[in-house]
Amino acid sequence: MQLRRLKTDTPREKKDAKYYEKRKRNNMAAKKSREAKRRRDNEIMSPEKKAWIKPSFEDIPPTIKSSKHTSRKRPLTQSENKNSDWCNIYTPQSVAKLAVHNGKIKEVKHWFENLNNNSLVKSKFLLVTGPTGCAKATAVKLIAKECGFICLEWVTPMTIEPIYDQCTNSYCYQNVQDKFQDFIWGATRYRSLKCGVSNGQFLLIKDIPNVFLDKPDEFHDIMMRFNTPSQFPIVFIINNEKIIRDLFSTEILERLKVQQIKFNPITRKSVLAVLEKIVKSEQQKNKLLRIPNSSELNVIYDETNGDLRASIISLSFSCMNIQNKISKKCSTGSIDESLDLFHSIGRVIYPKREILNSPLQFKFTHNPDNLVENFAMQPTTVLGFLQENYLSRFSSLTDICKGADAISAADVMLNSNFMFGVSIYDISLSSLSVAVRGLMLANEKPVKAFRSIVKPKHFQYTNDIQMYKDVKVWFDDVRESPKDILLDIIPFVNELGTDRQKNVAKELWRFKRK
Amino acid sequence: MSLWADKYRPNSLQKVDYFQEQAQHLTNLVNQGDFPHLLFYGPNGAGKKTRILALLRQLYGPGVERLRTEHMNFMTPSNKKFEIMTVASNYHIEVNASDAGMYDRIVVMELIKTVAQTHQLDSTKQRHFKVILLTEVDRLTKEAQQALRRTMEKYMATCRIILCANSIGQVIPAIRSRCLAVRVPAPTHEDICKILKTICKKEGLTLPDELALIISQSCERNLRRAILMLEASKVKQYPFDVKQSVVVPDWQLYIGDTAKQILSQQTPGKLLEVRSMLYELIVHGIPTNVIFKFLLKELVKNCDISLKHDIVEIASFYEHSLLKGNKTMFHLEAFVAKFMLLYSKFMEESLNGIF
Repeated sequence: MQLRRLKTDTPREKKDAKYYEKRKRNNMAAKKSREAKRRRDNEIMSPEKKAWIKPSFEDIPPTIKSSKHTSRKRPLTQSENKNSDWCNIYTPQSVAKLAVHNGKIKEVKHWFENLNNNSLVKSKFLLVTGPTGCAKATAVKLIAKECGFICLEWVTPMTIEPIYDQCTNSYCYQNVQDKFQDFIWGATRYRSLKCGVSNGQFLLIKDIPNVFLDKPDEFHDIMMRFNTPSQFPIVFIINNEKIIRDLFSTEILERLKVQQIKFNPITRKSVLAVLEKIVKSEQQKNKLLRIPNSSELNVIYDETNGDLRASIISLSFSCMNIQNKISKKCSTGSIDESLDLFHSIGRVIYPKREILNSPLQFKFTHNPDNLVENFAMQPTTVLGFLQENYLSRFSSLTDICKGADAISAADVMLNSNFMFGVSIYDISLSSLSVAVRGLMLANEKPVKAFRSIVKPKHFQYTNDIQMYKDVKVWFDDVRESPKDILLDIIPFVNELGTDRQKNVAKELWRFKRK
Repeated sequence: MSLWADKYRPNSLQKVDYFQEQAQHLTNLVNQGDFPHLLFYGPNGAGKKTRILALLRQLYGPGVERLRTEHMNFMTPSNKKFEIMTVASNYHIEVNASDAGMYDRIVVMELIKTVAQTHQLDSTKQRHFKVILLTEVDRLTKEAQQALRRTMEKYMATCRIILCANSIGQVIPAIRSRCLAVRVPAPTHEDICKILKTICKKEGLTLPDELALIISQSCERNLRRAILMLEASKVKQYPFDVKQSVVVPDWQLYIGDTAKQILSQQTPGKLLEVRSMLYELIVHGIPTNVIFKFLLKELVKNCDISLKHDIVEIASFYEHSLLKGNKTMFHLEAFVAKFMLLYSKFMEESLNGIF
């Protein structure tokens, strides 16, 4: 089969401009195809895929970020998107500029200094906890830099790349747990080439792989094994209470000699100072900037609860040069207030009112809608909690009636699942809203005394199945249903039952009458 | 213990003591050889179960009475295992699916599937279908009832379903229309008196008419309770005395106490106390609708005639929402609160009228 044209020499006299043009283009195309082929080959035979020994260091470079590296990168992002990323631009560059409380800075510094002088009571683990955006990581990095440490940071890989195994001629995957372990071993055994001059390195683990949340034991195991041979310091930065409780129980803290430093939310004063500084310097760059007044800054602080990062982001939002003023409503939605269950139930059963003009016109200090949306529990459970606790907070019977009505209506609504076009989620939310609003409105004069909030008894009392089973065990010779036994036979057991049944009935089913 | 209530339970449709005409209809139905799905309903202790068992005996012969209890295992969608107790003979199986609580749908579907997929072994001698007896159908969730309706049609060839309920108000119309509904009303006071006397005669005892009347009046027209009361009284004191006190179930007395508490004082603190008493009743396995009924009865007894109408009205309102809702306690409490309010208002007004 002849695919190509036969090669024919073109006589010299025929080689005109058009011919040369053609040749040139053909050569270019050939070159392009050669290059493409080479690229394809390289891709398949890249060193990391060629290797049959798992090169543990090959994985690390993309995951390690030395702090120097990031600082070089920073101006670049700054020039690219000018005013959106204020958090990055205004990251403090020295310890003195941190908004964190001085005492905490001293504590962290003390830990780093202890690492250097070989004191006996040194701990090589540091656990930094605190709410989001209170400059934990920034503070640790800056202080470490000042003390002459280089930061190696673990970043959980987002994608899993296969590793080529030449022996079996196949690709294999490494799970995150192994990677984490390899990283810790690799990073702590061998010194990085970059840190010739500095005192030392430390490992920063901000983002613990999710695998360990299910298997805290594995994590403890790795930490224990790491603990014995190495002198390498590790800093954990965690903001989630649950993770702290699971992974760093007090027992572990003691055994590993972990020092814990707890950061607090940043104070109003320092947040406002930071925000004002940012506004001032931005103003010099951009004359069109809208300057928020001090009350707006205060509102930003209230919404973010001392989260510096979030407050800078909402500052950049409110500084945008938009003609119409940002209404308060759309900015309050920016961050949900994080309240625990007891707190929000307390807000429902002790409603606070603000009287507007006359006693008849009022509004609730805490918006019922927000309360309903922020319950992070099943509506039935919340309703149970409200029902169990509302009664002792009401002072008059008329109010109780209204409140009980609201709860009863909410329960009926919660069970009406057969409504077209409305999701069960919507139904449950609105029925909870009925209960919350009803209770808040009904309770005109809440009882001021403190009473602890108790768990709903209803749930522990409706375990019929267990009860029926017990009944059947003792009355196996009676051919009635357990319900009927409880209703009809047990009352007469004193006269008719056997001795054994009498004793059991006395223990389990006798009423304690006064 | 062999209770009189079990001992003197009529075991054939010809022997039932009252509603003989209805029993005759049922006999005719069975003698034809085939029948539709049945739905028996009526109050507690009226004899639904007795009639169903007699019907089965008529259908399959005495082999039906050889019963064995079995534990069936089920698996929820979330891989949680649970167990349900069933009573079965070779020809039928009896199950109370509402024991499974929120998982009753799985029980209904799986059970009927497993039972109905196998044919009767010896169909020449026996009927060509088995019987599934589901009790307390009115306590099934709506989902379970929907599932029941589908499976009922699907396995019509191999099984018949007999349903047993207290009222058909809670049974969805789709099921009601697929069944032949048989109402078993509570026996009258005279019927109860007559039955008590025949039992005494068979036991060789003499029962004074007055005592029979007292028992029949205090048993809420519940035949089972009447017979148990009779037997308990006999154990307590024999020969019978006319003025002898009848043993009343202690939960009934406890509900009376609760009502007294409600009437004694109408304050939020009292309501809290009443709540704990109601919980006590629930812990002892007394169904909420029974509590509601007796409580209302006790409360109305102690009310002024002008108040009675209002109270029954609010009671019917909250009873309705109790059936519609899930957490029965909420509605019970709302009713008590409302009653306290009405009652205290009425008392204040009447006191003002005096002075």
